[in-house]
This record gives sequence, C-alpha cells and structure tokens, in this order.
Amino acid sequence: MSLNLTEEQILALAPDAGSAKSGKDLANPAKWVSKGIHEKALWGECQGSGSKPYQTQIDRLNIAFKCSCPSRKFPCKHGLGLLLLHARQPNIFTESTEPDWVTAWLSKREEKQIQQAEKKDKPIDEAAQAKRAQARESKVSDGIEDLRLWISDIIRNGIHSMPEKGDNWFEQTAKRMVDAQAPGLAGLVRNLGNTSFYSDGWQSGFMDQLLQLYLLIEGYKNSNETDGAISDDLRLGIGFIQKQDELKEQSGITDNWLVLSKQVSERDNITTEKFWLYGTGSQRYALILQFIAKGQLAQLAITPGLNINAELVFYPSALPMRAIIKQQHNAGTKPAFKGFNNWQEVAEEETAGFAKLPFRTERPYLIHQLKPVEYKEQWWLQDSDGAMMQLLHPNKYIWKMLSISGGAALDVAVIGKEDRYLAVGLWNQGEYIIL
Amino acid sequence: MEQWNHIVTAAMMGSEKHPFNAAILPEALMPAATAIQQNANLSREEQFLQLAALTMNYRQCGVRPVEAASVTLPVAAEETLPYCSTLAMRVLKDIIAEDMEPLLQIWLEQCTKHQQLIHPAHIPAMLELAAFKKKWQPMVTACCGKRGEWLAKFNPAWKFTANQTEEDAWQTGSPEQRKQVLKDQRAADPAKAIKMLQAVWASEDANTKQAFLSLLDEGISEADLPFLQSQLTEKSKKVKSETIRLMLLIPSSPLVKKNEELLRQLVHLQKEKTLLGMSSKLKIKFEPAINLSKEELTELGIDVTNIQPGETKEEHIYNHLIRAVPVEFWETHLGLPGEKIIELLQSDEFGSRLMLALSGAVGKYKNRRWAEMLWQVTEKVYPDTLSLLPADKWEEVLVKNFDKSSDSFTRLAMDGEHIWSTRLCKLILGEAARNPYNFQRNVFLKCIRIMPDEIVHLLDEQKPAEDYKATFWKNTSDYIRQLIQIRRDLIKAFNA
Repeated sequence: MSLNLTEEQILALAPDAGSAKSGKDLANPAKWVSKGIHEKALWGECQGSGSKPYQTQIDRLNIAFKCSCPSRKFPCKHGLGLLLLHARQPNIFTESTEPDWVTAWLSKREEKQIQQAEKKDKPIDEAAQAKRAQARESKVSDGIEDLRLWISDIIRNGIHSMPEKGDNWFEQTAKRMVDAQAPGLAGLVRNLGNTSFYSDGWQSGFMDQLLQLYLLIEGYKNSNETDGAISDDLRLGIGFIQKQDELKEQSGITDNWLVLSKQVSERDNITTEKFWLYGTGSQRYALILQFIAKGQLAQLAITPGLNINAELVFYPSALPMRAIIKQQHNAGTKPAFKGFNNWQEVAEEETAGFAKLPFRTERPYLIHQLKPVEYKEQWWLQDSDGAMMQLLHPNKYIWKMLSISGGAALDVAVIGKEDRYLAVGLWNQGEYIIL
Repeated sequence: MEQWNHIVTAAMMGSEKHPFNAAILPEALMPAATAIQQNANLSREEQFLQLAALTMNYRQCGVRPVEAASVTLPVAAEETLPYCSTLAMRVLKDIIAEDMEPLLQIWLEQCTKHQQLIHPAHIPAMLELAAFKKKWQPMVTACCGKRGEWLAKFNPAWKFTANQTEEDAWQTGSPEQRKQVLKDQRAADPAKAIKMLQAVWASEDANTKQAFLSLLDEGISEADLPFLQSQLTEKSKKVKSETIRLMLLIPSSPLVKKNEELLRQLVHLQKEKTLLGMSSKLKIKFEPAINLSKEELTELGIDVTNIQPGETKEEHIYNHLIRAVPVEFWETHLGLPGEKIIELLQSDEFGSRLMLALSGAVGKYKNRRWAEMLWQVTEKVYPDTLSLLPADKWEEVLVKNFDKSSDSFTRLAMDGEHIWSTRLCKLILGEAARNPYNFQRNVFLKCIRIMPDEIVHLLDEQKPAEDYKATFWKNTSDYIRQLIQIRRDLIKAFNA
C-alpha cells in the first residue's frame, strides 16, 4: 500500500507555518505544469518564478522528498503542495509514465540503499580505540565524582535555595559534564536548571530529576554488578553513544508502525524531534529521535497518523523503547490495534517498567474506551471500570477531545508516566486523529 | 504519597539542619532502608539520596488509578442535522488559516442556510473564534449544533451557545443575542418588536437603549411614533439623538412636519419676467432663514455652532432643513415634477449649493426614483444616492466618471453592493495595477461578494508600468485568484 495521508497529516509534515501556508497555495492544479503518479512515486512540475518549472518528486514507498527548488526547508512547499493536491484531487493525477528525472532519482535511491547495505567498515585500530575508550572512562569517572559532590552539596544545604541559583549555576556544572565527556549527564543537569521554580510543587519534580541523576551515576559506578541490559541504559544515560551503523547491522522488528505523536523541542540551535510509534503486529512501542542542526535538512519525514511498514532496531535496554528505522519498506496498512483495557493494566505495566528501569522517563500507551471527565476542577480520563488518571496539559487539547467524544468512550493514545498522562491522539470512526 | 512528601520536605530543609528520619518510611522499605543506614561508607547526604531514591521508586511502582465510578459526564444529544461535506470543512480551515473574515461570513451563511453542521473536531476552534467575534455568535451557534451547545457547558466563554428560546435569549442572552432577537423580530413583526422593547425598556442602560434603537430602521413607520416620542424626554443625549434620527425617517412625524412647515414658509416659486416682460421664467425663491430665533433653531435640532468651513449660516440652516424632509415634499409643496425642481435648484446660485443636502435626503429616505432623477438631470455623482441606483445606472455613473478620479471611483465601486461587470472589473483592476500599494489584498478581500468569477481571467491583462510595482501587483493578483477559488469551492461544497 502506498503513502496516503490526510490533509492534517500532510500539514503536520511542514517544517514551519509559512511552509504549510505556501504548500496550501500550491495545492492548486493551475500551479502545476505536469503531474503524475504510480505505485512508487508522485511527481509534478511546478511553475515558479524562474523560466524552468521546479521538478518535485515524492517516494511513496519510503516517504522521501526531492525538489529542484533552492529551498533549504524540508519538505519544501512544492513537496507539501503536491501531496496536498493529490490528497484533495487524486483523480487529476492521470499520468502514470514516470519522466526521466523521476526514474533517475528512484534508481539513485535504490542504488544508495544497496550500497549502504553492502558497506563494510574500514579496518579499525583496536589498540587505539581501546586507549581512547579507557581515557574516556577515566574522564567520565572524574566527572561523576564531581557531580556526586555537587548533588551532595545541594542535599546538605537544602533545595529551598535552588530558585535563586540562576541558569548559570546549573550551566557551569553542565559544562563540566561536557568536558568530562558525559553529555547525557550535562543534559540532565540542564533539565534541573529548567525546572519551573515559580510553579507550585516544583520541589517534587526537582527531587525526581535529581534522584534520577543520582541513580544514573550510582548505577554506573556499580554497573559491573548489574545485568548487561541495564548497564546499556546507564551508559546511554551518561552519554556514551551507541553507533547507529552498529545497530543497523542487527536484525530488527518488521511491523506496520503507526506514528502516534511528534514532539519537537529546540536547544542550542538543535531541533530534537521525538516520534512515538506503535507496532500494530508486535504491539510494541518505539521512540525515534531525530536531531536537526540549524541549516541542516531533516532526514526523516514521518508524521503523526502515518502508518509505515518498517524494520526498527531497538537500542539495547532493560526496557527497549528508543529505536532507529533500519529499513522502510513501504507505507503501511491500517490494521486494528490491541491496547490496554483499563488503567489498572497501565499501572501494572508502569510498575513492571519502573522495577526494571527506575530512572526511565515517560512512554506511550494505547488504551481502549476512555472517557474525558471533569473531577475536582481537573480533567481526567476514565476507563470502563470507572478508574481515572489525570490529564497533563489538558488545556492544549481537551476541547477537541471532548468535542469529538461528545461524552462517549474512545480509544486514546497517551504519553506519560505514573499518574499524569498527555493525550496525543484518539480513534474516531476508525481514523486516528491527532490532538 | 505521604512518605514522599516527607522526603521532599527534608530535601527542602537540607540534611545539615534537619537530618531525615527513616522511621517514617513504609514497612516494606525497612530492610533496604536499614541496610542503607548501616552502610558506614555513605555520607549523611548519600544516605538520604539513597533512601529518597528508594522511596521514589516505591512511589513510582505503586501508582494506582483513582477509583471514581460516580464521576460522570453527560453525553451530548444526537444531532438532528447533517454534517457539512469534507470539502466544506477544508474550505473552512483554509479560510480560518488565511484569516479571511468576509469569506468566513459567507461560509457561515451558507452552512446556516443549508442547515448543516461543522464537524466536531473543529467546533472548539469556531466557538473560540465566536467568543471574540460577537457578530458571528448566532450563526456559529447554529452551525455547531447540539455538540457545540453541550461543549459550551464546560467553558464559560462559550456560554453564548446555550440553547434558549427567543424569549429566553431576549430576557437573559448576551447583548449580541438580544440584538439578534430584536433584529429578527423587527423584520418579522415590527410592532411586536416595539412591544418587546417597551417591556424591558425601564431596566436597560443608555448604551443598550441606543444599540436597540439603532436596529429599528427596518420597518420604521408611523406606528412607532408613540414609542419614539416617549423617548424625547430621555436624559441620555445618545438615546435622544438616536430617537430624533429615527423620527426624522418617518414622514408623518411631528419633527418632519415642523421642518416641512418651516420650509413651506421659506421656499416659494416665483415667476420672473424676461425679454422685457415678453416672457417669464420660474425661479425658486429662498427667504432669509438667518432670522430664526435661537429657540426655533433648538426645537428643530439645528446646531449653528457646527457650521462647516465654506458654509454660511444661511446655508447651514437650509441644508439641515432640506436633509430633514422627504424629497417628495418638494413635489407637493412646489407643485412641480421632481426633474423640474432639480433643474430650478441647479440653475439658482443659492439653490445649487443645496444640492448635496437634497441628495442627502434622497439617500436618507432611500428614494430610488429621486436618485435616478438626480443622475438623469444633473449627470453628477452624488455618493449618498449611488447605492439606490439600479445596477445598470450605478455602473453607468461609475464608468462615465471613472477617468475624472479613478481612485475615488474605484473605492466607490468597492463600497457598492452590485456585482462588477467585466467593463468595471477592467477599470478597477487597471487602477489597482497602476497603484498596487493603494489597493492591497485586504481591499479585495472586503469585495469578495461583488467580484465576479471571471475577474481571474482579466488579471493578467493588467500590469503596472513600473517594474518595482510588478511583484506587489502579482501578489495581489494571486490573492484575488485564491479568493475566487475559495469562494467557488465554498459554493460548490454547499450546493453539490
């Protein structure tokens, strides 16, 4: 089955609001000199301001865009416009013989995939590599001792003074962790500094993060005594990178994956995109991360609501969640999913998860038949047994959710942990709706 | 979890001042807690950190959902009307994204007219929009159906959708809802609208009274006079002035009669001998009005402190009086056909200076016959009367005069209600292309109801002479194309 996106999903692919708007303007047959489609690709020539029209093409099986326009945005407005036009008026795409420029691009993509598959690693100087690894371990250990003292000082003096410390105080420690080649710890220290000290109850969240940091460094110190899987989580938490090439050599899980949500954040000119996926066959959840430096093009173009058939390789973990897409075969089908039946099942899953990985963060859940309800001036999701969990940041989506449900129970996708969950999507008449 | 709260409190104070008492931890954690406390290699701070981490994980692993089966949410009632098409929803989303208010108005009108509903996922956005744009509240309420009404129960800002009878809406609705009820009632049964007003009048404030009075133009008649006359004793200047404005719209009102009476005394026909007495011609004679007493002027609502530059006091008084009487008065009073009266006024030096006031009266009393006569006799443009002309005459006025002031006539055409002909489109687009900075996108957006579909075929014919204006004009042209396309889709979506 080929790529078939709704307008909402296509617009969610846009890198910014301006591109979405321009894309919509281009979803007009008059703007396209030619357009065509077949099972593998969608293409068109868009008359821009230059003498030659821009050649826009979309790989429908592996979801990729290419355009001859000079835009640095990805996908560009022409790619979005062409997809939107196809979503709105599929019948006007009557041409099915691909032009040479489409053939050339598709062939090049296929060749590249084969080359990547055949790529052999260069011979490695193992002695030098071991020396470098040892030097790093030593630096990290020093950094961890530094961090242990820093945390102890905080506990000795009390966290009441944290709001007055200012960003710079946290940033200095974060920088020392970067120097100690422990970027994961640096990030966690920065997160501590980002605590919203003006909100009620900041102390509890701050302590959670501080203890997670402590568990990481303490766990890492004792990692010889733990099993192999959790030591991978500890190393990843400290900031040791698992090479993606190595991961890709492993076999993964091929499934129809539904993209549940995309969360975007930006720091130091690097945009981080978090894609939460659910495998409809394996019933597994996955997190794909994409980091985009300013001025660079994103490599991955997936959008919430999209179904992809792909092989995912998970990072080694006691509770595997983060993964990479090893291979994308084609756009996936929309099979039914099996989620959790009630909050009790979710709570049990949470308990099992924390038992394996006490410092883990949020994760997604698909839960059947939840109703939004108002209780003690807060919004909750209530299951068919009457049990409820509180919604996180409901003002962003509760009205849309309520309006679609009309008070009836719906299948819902949430992301969260413990007793707070962010609703990210729901199923309405068989369609996944992004909230 | 209580124990966690103790951890947080201890962390706030700091281990130096307030050492943590592990005895408060749950029984299940005691073996681990004891092991931590007995580990002599750990500092006091590390002991606390480990006890806290232990408690955190105990808390994380022990979360249970809140059992509250008694908490329920009422279910929304089933809709009785159909949802609008997917195309209609797509058009709506585009209109909102582009902030095209005039098109949104048309969309809502079409949706209401065809008795269709907005899809539930988009109801919150529409209610939010209507919360800030009160004029749309009645239509948005209708288009959001029972789901919108149900949803509004949870958001006080959307209370305007509450299902009310007309009576409820009139008694307890928002100001916009009440105005809408009055407007509808006035159109259906003008006398009943007055009764509705009389029933609540004493409890309304001056601003509301003024707003309600401003809705009575439609269907105004002699029957409204008793109610209006009772308002002349109102303290509020705003209410009084609105009342006078309305009374002046009723030819049989005492105010109009008073003005007519005075004009009867001041204006006569006079025969003047010409050609050494061999012939005579008619002339309008204006008696001096300057001698009117202050009391007389006040009674007639004439404010002599408000004389316009270049206007004499005499002219000011006559202008006021002429504007305040229906134009048919002149035919009855002077016993001449309208065309002749216009000719006489034009040919008289003083009379010609009163022509604008006369055209003002034509516009005010919406006298289409006189509007046409004015154009036929004078071939001059009187803006107040333009909207009263039939489409062909309206266009003739604009086209004939266009070159005299292309900017003004383009704006007059844009302010009109008649759909532009191809000839007019060309003139307007020509002017806009020559001066693209004066006629930007929003100007055309406001004209969406009067721009014909074929305007898109005429856009390429127009190009600015100067290169630097070309891009701006191209953007405006593209926008006009987009507007027409959205309108086409909108109409198609509701008429398929």
